[in-house]
Amino acid sequence: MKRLFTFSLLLVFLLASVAITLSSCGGKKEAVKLTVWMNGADSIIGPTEQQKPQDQWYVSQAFRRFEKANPGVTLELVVQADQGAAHTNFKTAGLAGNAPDVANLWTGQPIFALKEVILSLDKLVPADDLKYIVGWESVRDGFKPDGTILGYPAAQNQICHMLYNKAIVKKAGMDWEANPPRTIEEFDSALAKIKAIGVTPIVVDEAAQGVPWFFCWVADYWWTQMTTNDGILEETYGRKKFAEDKGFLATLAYYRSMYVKGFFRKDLTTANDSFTQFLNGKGALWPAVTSFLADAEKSLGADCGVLLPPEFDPNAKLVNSTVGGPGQSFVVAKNTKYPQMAVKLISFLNSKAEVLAAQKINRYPIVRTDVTPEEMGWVPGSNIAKLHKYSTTYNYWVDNLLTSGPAEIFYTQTSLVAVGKMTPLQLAEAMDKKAAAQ
Amino acid sequence: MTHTTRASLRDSAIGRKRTRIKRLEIFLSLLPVVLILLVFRVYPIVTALAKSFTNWDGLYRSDWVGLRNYVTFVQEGTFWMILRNTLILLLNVPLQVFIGIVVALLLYERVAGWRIYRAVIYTPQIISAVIIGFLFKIFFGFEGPFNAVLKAVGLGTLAIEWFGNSYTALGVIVFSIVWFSIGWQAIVILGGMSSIPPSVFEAAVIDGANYWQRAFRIVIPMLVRVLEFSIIASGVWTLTQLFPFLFAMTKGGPGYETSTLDYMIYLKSYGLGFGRDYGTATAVAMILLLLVLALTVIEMRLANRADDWG
Repeated sequence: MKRLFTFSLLLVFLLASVAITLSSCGGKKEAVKLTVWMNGADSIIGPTEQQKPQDQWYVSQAFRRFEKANPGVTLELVVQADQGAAHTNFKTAGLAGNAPDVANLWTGQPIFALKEVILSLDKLVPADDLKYIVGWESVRDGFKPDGTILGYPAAQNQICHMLYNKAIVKKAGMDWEANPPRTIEEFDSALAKIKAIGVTPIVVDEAAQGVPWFFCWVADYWWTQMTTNDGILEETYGRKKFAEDKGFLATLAYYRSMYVKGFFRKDLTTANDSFTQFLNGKGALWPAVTSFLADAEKSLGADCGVLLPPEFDPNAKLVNSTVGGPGQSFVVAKNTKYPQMAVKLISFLNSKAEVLAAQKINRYPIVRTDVTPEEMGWVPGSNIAKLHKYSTTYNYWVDNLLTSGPAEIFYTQTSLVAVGKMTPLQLAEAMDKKAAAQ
Repeated sequence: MTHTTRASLRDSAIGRKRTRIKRLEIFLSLLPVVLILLVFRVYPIVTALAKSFTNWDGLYRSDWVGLRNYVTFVQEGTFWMILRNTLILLLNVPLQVFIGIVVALLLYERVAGWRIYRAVIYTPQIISAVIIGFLFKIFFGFEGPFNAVLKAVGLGTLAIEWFGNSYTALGVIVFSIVWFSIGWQAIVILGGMSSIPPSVFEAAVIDGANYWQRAFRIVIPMLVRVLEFSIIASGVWTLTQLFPFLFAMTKGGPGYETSTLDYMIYLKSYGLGFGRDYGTATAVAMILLLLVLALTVIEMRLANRADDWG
């Protein structure tokens, strides 16, 4: 009896040990934690969202949905306030081997310059994503159709345009909804009429944040109309000269003439409150990308309109377009331990369901071809619907084509051409000098 | 060997032993400081010097390029403007030292309300430089309060775009630095003045020396070493620590019109352009180091001469 009891006890102990061992081996999955850097502006975090608690942001809610669909996965959101610095920080972290698993960076040259620390996604992107998402050229190394895929185009599509105040335009005797200026001559004449009623036609901070916004968001379209993106790439790689680019010089000359005619605010190289001035009715136009539309509509209501850049050369190959496209990307760090899960997350954020969910909080033209404006709930003829028309016909960001040397000159000195401290040729030659030194 | 000789040999052996122990003590006492200096000062400087001769991108690329970074930077066309800006901003040093002496003397002589003045004058030092930069940017903005006042008093023609021109922008920056620093200068000089016997000032007053005579005939000659410290410290600070002021007020612009050597280190390392030209950034840092050393040596020699005169 005693033996039987001892044997039974041993058997129970043995079985319990086996059960515990098996449960700990098979039942528990490895915990996966992904760190995600997200830009605090112009990204899937909308400008007005940041006034709310972080758990109410779209991206926070999307992360919770992803975690729910993928048990064992936790996502950590890190918001990068300074987008430019985020690139350097990512590079430094990549060098140290502790870059975030996923990072939201700018497309084009900014990520090409970081390819040593970015994982190639050639074998990881699902075929459906390649089929239904537009803008892959912006994340393929060297903008080549067969270039290595360095990231995903981010879910929102930024379309460059000018926001305008309908009340001011009406006061100047015009109706741009029915008859928008479509040539440079018409544009000039329209701005002159606005100036004549005592309102500054265009308010813009052309240097305060280190970027010539009007040139990048509006005038770049005129430049690429005449030179083409391929031509600009040739120049930035030093194979052709900016100084011999008639399109670039003509655009700069017109840009200068706009300042001379008083179409810009006088202090455009030092101003830093133009958007506020625009919202307060102190300026008729403000160069913009889509992420500013919601705030402008909220402030101006029915008086908020959108105007696409007029054609500099109506006979150019590129017409009825504008600068834009996915200016933001999602990249995966080389040092990530979970490349498949990282790509799964990015694919999830770009999925049709998430694009539709995001639109309930932020409104952006999108990068998917399988979603219609009706599905998005956009009223035909609304500002957002007008911009969405350019979602697949945009011309990719010109400043993102520029390599570091010419870009440095372009960003820091273009506004000096407007105020007459530099001639167009001097700027072009300075960019050539930088391109040659690369 | 005599007893005296043996004793003398023993004494000399003991002396040598003591000298060795003393040397060992000195060596061991200095060792921690020397190690800290080697690790945290010498090593970074030597590394930066080596990197300044490469095309370092902050990552793996670090090929030897000789003097190319230096030559390219000097030939860029903006170098002389940047050097000029750096030197113009140094004008704040004599200004803040002069005003610091004036204020320190007023506080020393305990003019009515001196306690309040002492607290108020030091207040800018406890405000973040970035906040000061933004305040001055708003105050001197084209549509800011300063221009509004000028227009209100009928001086509308003087209401210009202060940050739109290199010289006026640098003038505003110098003004902001002086405003920020006079409290520190006054406290340093006041500290130095405490070493001057009060009887000296009392005798000067009895002899009929006025305020300016007391400042220039007593304070300055007797505080040469204190002034030397404050001038060197302010000069080095101006050359290396102005970044938050420039970043908040002008971002080095328009163009490079208010950029300085230390701001260029930032622009080359982190500015828009995405290339991260760390090689050139370290070359600029080396040029700045040489400038700091040169100015410090000149200033110390002048101070030594002034001390000799004293």
